[in-house]
Amino acid sequence: MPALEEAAHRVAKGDLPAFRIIVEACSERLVRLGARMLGNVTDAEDLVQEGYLRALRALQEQKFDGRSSVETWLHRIVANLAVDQLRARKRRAPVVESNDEMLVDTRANSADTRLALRELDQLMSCLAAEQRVALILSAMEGFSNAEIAQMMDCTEGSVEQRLVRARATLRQKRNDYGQS
Amino acid sequence: MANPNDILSEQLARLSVETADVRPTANFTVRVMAAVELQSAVREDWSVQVLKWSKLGVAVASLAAAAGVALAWHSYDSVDQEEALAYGVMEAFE
Repeated sequence: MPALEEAAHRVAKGDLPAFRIIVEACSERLVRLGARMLGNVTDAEDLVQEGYLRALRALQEQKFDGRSSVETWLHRIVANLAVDQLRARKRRAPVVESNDEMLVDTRANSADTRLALRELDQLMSCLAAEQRVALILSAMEGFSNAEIAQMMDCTEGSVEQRLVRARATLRQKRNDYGQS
Repeated sequence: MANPNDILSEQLARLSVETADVRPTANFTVRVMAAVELQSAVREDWSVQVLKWSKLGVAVASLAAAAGVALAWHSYDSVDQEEALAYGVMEAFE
């Protein structure tokens, strides 16, 4: 049994410290995914932490059936949480990343990386939450449409539609910007 | 004129490279494990509470059932006694 699946099995049996194996193995990829979806590392870490807590609850309640790998399952949880958070963001006034948050992040991530995340956030801000998440999973994380469909709990056709619409919206935005 | 799709793909590819180095902050694992332990502790406490209250509920229900049976028996007994008294009176007059 692969290491993460073994750790998940142990957590389900009550071995809580085994959860650390999962956290250490998956955090880098999940936080990067969250940062690309939400535009900054601070929000990404909050998102991924919430994802871990939900995963833990599911393991303790024997709700993880093992049909997908632990890593895919965690990606699914984080992607769905990101959709919820992006929708909630649209309903709230925009929040500027505080200086304190940027100071905390400087040691882990360079200024160029943080600027790139900000540029990505601005680029994607016009997209619906599901389109944004699907496009990042496809164009930046390299997942196939079938994998994205599994993560976002929809059909492959829906994924293709979201990607087509996302690209069309971004093209239109570029054209409008070019003409203004 | 450049194909807008190509420009967009190039921008996404560039941003993909520029954000490839994103890392969690140094204490992220520690922070997550602290939250995990807290959630587990709250969950255990909650399970204990549910068990305690459900046992209490079963005890109260049992008492109520026993009280109901006792009351019904007492009522039956009373009727029986009244009937016996009535028959006794009737026999006395015969």
